[in-house]
Amino acid sequence: MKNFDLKKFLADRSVPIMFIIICLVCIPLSGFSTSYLFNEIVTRVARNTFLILSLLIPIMAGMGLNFGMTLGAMAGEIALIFSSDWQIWGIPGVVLAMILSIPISILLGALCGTLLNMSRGREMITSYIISFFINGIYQLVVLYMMGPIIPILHESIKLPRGYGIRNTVSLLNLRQCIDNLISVNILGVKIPVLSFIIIIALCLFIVWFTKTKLGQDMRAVGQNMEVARAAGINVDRTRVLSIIISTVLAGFGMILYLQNMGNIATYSSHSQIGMFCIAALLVGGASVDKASIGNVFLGVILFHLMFIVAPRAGTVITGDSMIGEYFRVFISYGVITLALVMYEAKKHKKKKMKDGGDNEE
Amino acid sequence: MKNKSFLYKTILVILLAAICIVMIYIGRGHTLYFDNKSMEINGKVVDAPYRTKVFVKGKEVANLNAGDRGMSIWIGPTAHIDLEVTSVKGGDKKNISYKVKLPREYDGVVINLVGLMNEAPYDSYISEFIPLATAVEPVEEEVIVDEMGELGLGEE
Repeated sequence: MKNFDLKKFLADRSVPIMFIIICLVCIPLSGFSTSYLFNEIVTRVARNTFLILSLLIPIMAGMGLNFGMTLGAMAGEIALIFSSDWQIWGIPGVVLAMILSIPISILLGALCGTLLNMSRGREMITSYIISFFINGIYQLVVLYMMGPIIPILHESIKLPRGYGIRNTVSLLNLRQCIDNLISVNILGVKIPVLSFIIIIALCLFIVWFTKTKLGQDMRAVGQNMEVARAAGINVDRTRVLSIIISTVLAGFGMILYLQNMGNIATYSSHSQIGMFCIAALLVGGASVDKASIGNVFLGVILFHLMFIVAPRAGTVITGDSMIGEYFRVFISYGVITLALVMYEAKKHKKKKMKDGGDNEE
Repeated sequence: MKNKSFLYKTILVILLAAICIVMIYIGRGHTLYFDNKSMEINGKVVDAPYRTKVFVKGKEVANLNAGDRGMSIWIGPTAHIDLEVTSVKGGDKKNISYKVKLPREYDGVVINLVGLMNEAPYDSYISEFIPLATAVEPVEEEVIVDEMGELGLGEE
C-alpha cells in the first residue's frame, strides 16, 4: 500500500484549502443567516455551473483554460437579443436562443480553435486576447449594425439614436422561466430542480463524451500530441472540435445564466465571464491540465460563498464595503495567477527531474 | 461514410430549424389588455356588465368594474381566458371560458370583453394596443463598455 503523503495532499489542494479558510473566517464576520447563505449558494450554483462545465473539454484536450469561452457568451447574448426582439417569451424563448446561438458559437469556436492551433503552447494567452478581439467585433455588430443592417423590430431595445442596442436589454418575460418551471422549497431554500436536471444532464454528457472515440482522442491529444499524431489521430481537428464544443456549451450556459438574472448588460455581461468561471474552476482544485466535475462543483460553491460573504466581512473589518469588493476581485485574479505559477513550477520541477534521470542514465 | 455523416448533419440542421419555427410559433408573447367597456355591436350599444373577473391559467389577473381595463401576459397563439361575469349589482355570477386567437403582429392586444361575450365580429373586439406617444425628447444613452471587468459578476 502506498504511504499517505500529507504534504503532497495539502500542496495539491492548497487553493481550495485556502478558500475554505477564507470562507470560514468571513462567514461569522458577515453575520448572514444559514438559510440566506444556502439560498444564495443554490441560486448561484444553478446559475453558473453550466458555464464552468463548458471549460472541462478543452482542458481534457490539452488546450488549457479556455478564456475563449467569452465568445460563446457573446453568441448567447446575440441570440437572446433576437429572441427578446421577436418577443419569444418563456421556455420557447430560451430554447430558441439556444438554437440561434449554435451557429454563431460554432463559427466563433472554429475561428478560435484554428487560431489556437497556430499558437500551440500559448493557447491560454491567445484565447484571452482573441476574446478581446471578438469583443470588438461584437461591439461593432451590436452597437452599429443592429438596426440599419441587422433588422431590429422594437424601438424599446434600440438606443435613442435609432440604431445599436441599449446598455440593458430586459428579459423580464424570460426571467427564471427555467428555474421556476420545476422548483421545490426545502426549509426556506428554493431549489430550481429543472436547472439542476440540466446541469446533471451536462455532467452525464461529459462523462459519456470522455468514453466516446472523440473523447478518447481528445484525452490522447491532451496527454501527448506527438504520440496521438503517430496513432493516426487528426490532432488539429480534435483540438478545434474541443474548442467548438466548449464555445457552444458556453453559449448555452450564458443563456441559462442570463435567464436567471433577467436582463442583459449588453456590453459588459460577457466581458469577465471567462475570468470568473476559470477562477471558480481553479478554486475547486483544478489545474491547467487537469479538471473534473467535482472541481467544478467545489469551485462554484467556494468561490461564490466568498463572493457573498467577503463584501460584508470587509465592511465589518474595515468599515468600508468597497474593501470587500476589491478583495473579491483581487482574489479572483490572484487565484488564477497562483494556479498558473504553481502549474509552471510543477512542470519545471518535473522537467528537471526527468532531465536529471536522463543524465544519470 | 462521408455521405452518411453529411446526411446526419443535414437532418440535424433541419430538425433544429423545425424546432426554431415551432418555438417562434408557440413562444410569441403578447400583453393582453382586457376592456370591460360598452361597445356597439350591429348598430346596437351593448352595456358592459357590472363586474367581470378575468382568470388566466386559473389565476385572477383582473377584477374589472364597468369601464375598467386590466392586463395580463400570454405566451402562445391562442389565449385561454376564463371570465366570471356579474351582470348587475348583487346578481348571479356566470363563468364562461373563451379561446381567443391572438394576432401575431400585435405585441399588445386589446380585447373588449363585451364584444367577446356577445360574439361580435373578431376585428371589432380585437385591436392593437398603441402606447401614448410622449412629448419628451429621447435622451441619448451613454454606452458603457466594461472591458476591464469593473462591473463584477452576476451581482444583482
